[in-house]
Amino acid sequence: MARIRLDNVGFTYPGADAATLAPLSMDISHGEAFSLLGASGAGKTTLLNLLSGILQPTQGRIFLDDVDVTGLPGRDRNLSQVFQFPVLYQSMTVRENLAFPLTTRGSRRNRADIEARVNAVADELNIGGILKRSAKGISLFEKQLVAIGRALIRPDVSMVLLDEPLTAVEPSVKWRLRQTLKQAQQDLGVTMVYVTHDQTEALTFAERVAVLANGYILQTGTPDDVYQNPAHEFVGHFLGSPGMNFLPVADLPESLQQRVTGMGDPERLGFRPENAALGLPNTFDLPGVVHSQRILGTQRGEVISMYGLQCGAHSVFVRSSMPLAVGDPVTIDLKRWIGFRDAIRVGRRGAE
Amino acid sequence: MAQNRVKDNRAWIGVLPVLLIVAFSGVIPLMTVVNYSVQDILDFNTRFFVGLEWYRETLDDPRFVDAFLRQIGFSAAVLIVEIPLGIIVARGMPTDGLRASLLLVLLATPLLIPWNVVGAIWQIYARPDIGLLGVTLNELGIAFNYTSEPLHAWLTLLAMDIWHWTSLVALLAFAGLTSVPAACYQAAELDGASKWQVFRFVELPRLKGVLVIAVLLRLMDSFMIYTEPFVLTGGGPGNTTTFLSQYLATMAVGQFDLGPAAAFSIIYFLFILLFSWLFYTSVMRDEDRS
Repeated sequence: MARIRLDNVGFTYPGADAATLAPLSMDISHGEAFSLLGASGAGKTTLLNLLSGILQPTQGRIFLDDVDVTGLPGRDRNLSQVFQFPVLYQSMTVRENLAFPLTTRGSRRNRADIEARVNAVADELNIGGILKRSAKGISLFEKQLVAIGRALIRPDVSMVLLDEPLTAVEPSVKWRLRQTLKQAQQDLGVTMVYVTHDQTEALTFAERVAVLANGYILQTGTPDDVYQNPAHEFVGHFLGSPGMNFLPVADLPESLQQRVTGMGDPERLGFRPENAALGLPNTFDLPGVVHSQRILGTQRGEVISMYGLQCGAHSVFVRSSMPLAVGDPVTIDLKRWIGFRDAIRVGRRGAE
Repeated sequence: MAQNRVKDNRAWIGVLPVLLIVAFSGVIPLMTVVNYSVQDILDFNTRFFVGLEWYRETLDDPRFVDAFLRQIGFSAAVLIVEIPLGIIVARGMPTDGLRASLLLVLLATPLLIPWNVVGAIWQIYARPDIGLLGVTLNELGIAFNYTSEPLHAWLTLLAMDIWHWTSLVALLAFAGLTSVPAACYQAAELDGASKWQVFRFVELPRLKGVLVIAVLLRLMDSFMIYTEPFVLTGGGPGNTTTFLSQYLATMAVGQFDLGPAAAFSIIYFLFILLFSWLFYTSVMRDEDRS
């Protein structure tokens, strides 16, 4: 377990015009569950490869527990990784797979220690029953569990990198694997860096999430913080389903525009579908017309719907229990919103 | 459906060409040999049934036994060198780019040369009077002469076969190595695996399939080798490089002993079959168990 510190680390492929990863600094504390979230091509894998030593940064330095590991190969960083697809030594049994990292040069231990550690990790992951099986003869789900077990086997591992570890697993057992992973992280207190493009995975797994886009970290914060309080329009748009609504301030009614002044002079307002209320015409300031309805379910006997609304030239989504039909005119009350200027958050209203 | 079906056996006619081809290319020649092997043929009209006499005689023939042992020695030596060497070459290959393509073409070249040409190339190359290899060795103070020294003849033959066929093993192993996912190497690196462990636990299990094919091909081919030693040494000096196929050719074509030669062929054929089967089942048994 270790604290991971990235100091102005950037990466540019030789001959490339733009940096794959813009210089960034990051601090992941000891025993933290950290998540890197971003769409494909955002630079997640590059960052992961920089941490694991496949790639060396073209600038900046990487520290593990204040030891500069920049330039060191992966084997000397004492870290482990779980890959998208289960990577096992297929000629070995499950037990041998788990024990392998404890038998290699530099981390060799005596037999009793290995036995005890393998059993402890197997218990944690509930795979004690398949230890004697061949690594080839178990299910995909079990294989990925064993791969996770192998990543956790060294008690002193500095960090565990998880590269979209649920990709290959069937949807029906995804949550089980995620639960196991989360539990193991808490029980063993391992520093974990979880890379994913799936916001649900990132937000439920991590204590802190870093959102990446186009090689930049747009925001780092708790899941609640990045969701409720996005620092960048992309973060608001990328998280949530549907994502944040955006309306240009210039297109808002006069009365609303006045409420916005003194908030850092934003160009656009962003609000989440659940942070607005609907009313009959002339109730609130912002008028709109219902153009679509998707029923989400019922809550305390009321039907909750996701309404698509046309507000002038713009389309927004609002979650509401108000019974409406397509074509109905409504007004919208923004309970909580964020102001953005040049896509950067400049102010907010309604929170706290 | 079943009730409406018209009973009609005309479809069998469609299978006929295949039956004919298999019969003429495999079954009939083999049965002819079996037929010969149990008869003493004096001339076209005079033949006696002798039962297993020729088989007994062949197995008791010291020249057969010698040739057989030489054959096993040759095949074993060839496999012991070519399989590891092929893997080493394949592991040293760049995985992509122009260099990889050029190397692949270069590697494939020996495989494209007709076998008797391979024999002729090495026959000239190793000649102590004019051959590049032979002259060079003699200049270095080694009294190299493959036409008079059995050991030299053997080494030349082995060198020729290794030169000729290691490429095949290397190409197969290269194909096997390209199928190893990068993540497997990465995981081994992070686990702190040594180079040997990477080979033993990451690469070898994934090479198993192609290596089984490589060993089978090289086993069968080397066991049947004829043309190259025939051109290079002619089985000499003495009989020291006379392998099974050459002895067989001497009997069948040279002396026209059809009966013994036929019995010899059957034994020869069964041995190749036996060795291949033994190897294949022993390797594949682990596979089924897991």
